[in-house]
Amino acid sequence: MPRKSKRRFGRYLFSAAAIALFGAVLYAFFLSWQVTSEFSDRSWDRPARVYAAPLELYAGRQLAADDLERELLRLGYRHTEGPLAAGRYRQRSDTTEVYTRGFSYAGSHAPAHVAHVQFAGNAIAAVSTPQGTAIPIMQLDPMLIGSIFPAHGEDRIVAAPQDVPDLLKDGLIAVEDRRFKSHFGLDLRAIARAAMVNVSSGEIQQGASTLTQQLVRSFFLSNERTWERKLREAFMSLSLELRYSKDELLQAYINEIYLGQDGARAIHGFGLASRYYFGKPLGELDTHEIALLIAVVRGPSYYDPFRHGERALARRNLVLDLLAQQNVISSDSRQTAMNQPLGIIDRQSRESAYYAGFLDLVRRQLDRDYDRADLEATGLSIYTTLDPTTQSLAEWSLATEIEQLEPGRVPLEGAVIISNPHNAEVRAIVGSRQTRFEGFNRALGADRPVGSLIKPVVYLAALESGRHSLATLVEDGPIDVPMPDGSTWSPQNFDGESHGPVTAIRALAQSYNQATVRLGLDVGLNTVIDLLARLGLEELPREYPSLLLGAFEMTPLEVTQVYNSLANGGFRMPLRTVRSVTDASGSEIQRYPIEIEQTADPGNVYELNQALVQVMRLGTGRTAASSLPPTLTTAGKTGTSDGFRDSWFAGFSRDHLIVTWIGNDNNETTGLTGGTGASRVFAAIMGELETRAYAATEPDGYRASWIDFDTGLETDADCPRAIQLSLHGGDRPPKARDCGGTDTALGSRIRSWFRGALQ
Amino acid sequence: MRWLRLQILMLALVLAACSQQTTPMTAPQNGAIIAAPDAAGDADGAGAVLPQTPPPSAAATALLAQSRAQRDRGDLYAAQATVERALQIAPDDPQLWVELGELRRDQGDAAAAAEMARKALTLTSSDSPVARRARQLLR
Repeated sequence: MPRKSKRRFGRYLFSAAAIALFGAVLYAFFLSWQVTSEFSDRSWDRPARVYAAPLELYAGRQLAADDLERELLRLGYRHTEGPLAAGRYRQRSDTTEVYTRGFSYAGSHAPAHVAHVQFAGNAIAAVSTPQGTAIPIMQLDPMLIGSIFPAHGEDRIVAAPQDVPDLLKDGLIAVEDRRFKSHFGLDLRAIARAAMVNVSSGEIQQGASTLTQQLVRSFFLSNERTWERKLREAFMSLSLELRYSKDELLQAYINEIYLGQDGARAIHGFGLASRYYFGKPLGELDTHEIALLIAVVRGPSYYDPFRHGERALARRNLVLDLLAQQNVISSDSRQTAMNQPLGIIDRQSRESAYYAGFLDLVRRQLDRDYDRADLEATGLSIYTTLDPTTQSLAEWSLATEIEQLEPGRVPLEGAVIISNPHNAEVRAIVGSRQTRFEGFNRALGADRPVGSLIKPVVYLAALESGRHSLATLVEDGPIDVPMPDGSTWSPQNFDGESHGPVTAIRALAQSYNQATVRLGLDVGLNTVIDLLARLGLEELPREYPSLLLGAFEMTPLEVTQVYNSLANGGFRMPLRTVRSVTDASGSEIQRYPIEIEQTADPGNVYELNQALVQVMRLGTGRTAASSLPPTLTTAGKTGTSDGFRDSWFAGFSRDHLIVTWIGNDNNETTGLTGGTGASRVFAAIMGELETRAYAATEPDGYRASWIDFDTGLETDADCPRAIQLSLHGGDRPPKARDCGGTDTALGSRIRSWFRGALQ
Repeated sequence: MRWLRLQILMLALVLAACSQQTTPMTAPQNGAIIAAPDAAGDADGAGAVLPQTPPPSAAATALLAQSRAQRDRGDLYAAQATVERALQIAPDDPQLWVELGELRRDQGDAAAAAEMARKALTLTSSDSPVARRARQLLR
């Protein structure tokens, strides 16, 4: 019995051991499978990369040498006095010599080359090769402005093996894992040394991780310090070493490892870290810059160069010492590198370079055509319409103007959108005065009453009716509008006065409410709403008379869409932020071409825009216009909502439409009108842009003449209230007897003088 | 007194008649205007006249040539992308819009072609050669 039971016990023991062993082997296979599949699927999630529009260089462009230099610095180019290399430029009297980087743009590849850009004053005089052959037009590499990374926040740029500098590979081995080339995944000598420390202290303190172990740890995102995890990690490292070459492992490490935190975005891989810290590609890093990245590996938060500069510098110099000791670099280059500053990009410019407002709209437009997962993981490149120079000008102008306007008022916020009216490309979006923080994007999200911004649509509807021209008179007098609920609406003018019979152009330029309501009721509310739809507004206002004065909400983006149709002469084009999308291999998978549709008669829009020019000359926009160069003709309209809650401006030159909004987030009164608030932001931006005066070709059947601003009668050029106006042939007004309705003292004296002579 | 005023008036009329041919020509030429200068400023009227067809810059011309080469190779999409790039430089060059319209027509999109042609027609006078090309697209 005891013998029997002993034998049976032994058999149980044996079975249990066999099962345990089987389990262990199974687990080992599982771990091995887990880590190798993780590794072999080493198509990391590759977030889509988003690029700005490339800078185009060509003779005749209004771009000064300073502007080009700023652009080059923004792209991470470096000034040199010595020999040129890709990513460097130098200045020779009136010529900037640029060695461009090779790059892909929207499916085509541009090789690196040297270009000589010669300037004359504020313009490019010539672009040529070093041999003197003219280059008709060329692009610089497009600026990387962001990426569409998954919710877990992991962002990376995967570097190809040939793009990784040898110094980075050798340096990582020298500093992080000296015996990387010879060990089998674990460094037993280092483990033994660490174990001594850990045993004596009773807990795990010192690590002895090889690069392979660090890689495994990064794959599985666990940092718990337990023996169980250590064993698992060690086993996985061994599995990887058995399956893959040292080169493959090192390459994976370089693309995998965590190197910093940018808000919600985790910076992974040296490719992205190079962009993030230095604003340029990995291949262009100098010794001291590579050393800094190697320094950061050890503790991306502790050695964050942006936040702990001195600490990062000390560790960088330690890395340089180690590299020199192990003969990875010469002592000369160690010395040179030691003397360099950190060399990281300006924190200010990095923070303002979020482009969050613009990227919002890019995402919104891409979400229509792409799965989120494809955007986050498949390595797409998104080529957008953003102009970085225009964007930073808009950001700066909004912040500066608000700062000047704010004292004595409620806290102000604002938004700006800039488009090119002819192709509806969005050039800049500012969603807040605080561009450093991602937050509420007012350019897309602030749904605010538009006030008088609506008026041009009312007047365009009046012109379309055929019953009115800009020169016809409309009564600006008290008006009582019966409302559906039985009440009466009696709109007042801003100045509380009525101005009697006025020309339509004056009523619009000076934004008279009573005349506008009369005109709008004459053409019909639904006619105005229908026109709004044709101009591109999707969410239409209800049919209340107060819509004629803009008592309904639009976002700055919606205003931009509607005004883009006006600035584009009656052609509606969907606003675009994306030109092209390419896949991971660089071939174009989608293009977003120009789409255009004529939805308002170009003649009527041409006529209307003349009134918008008078807004800037004789109307509510004249203060803003007075700070612009006199030759820079612009057209625009102010808007103010009830109780001074919203200050709007929409205006355009030939090349740019700018929509600006200023208000308070809690919808409190700001005391600002469109003319005293938002129009200042407009003028600040317009005055600095590379843009041309507004101009339009006179349509067939139109003829220009001098018209009295007040009476609408044809008059002479030298009359005090004469404006030049091009009207359709049938709308030509009768000739005034003299200088029309002018009632200046001089005018009436002359009139009585004439009367005296002819009586 | 009244007689004296009449005399002065007569004299003024004679003087006005004499100065007829020196009256400044203020009406815009070429059938194209920039926004009208107002009574107060811009007396010189500088820049008030827009040339019929904006002189295409060498850059836009080069891109147009490139686009034509792409079109000849049958690569209509590349040709279209090149014209759109040229339009970024010269957005109101009617020729580029016609070119774009012809490319859309060749891709079988007659409706888009017609819209491009309409846009071109707003940028040039109706008797220009480019307007004739545009009208072809409207048929």
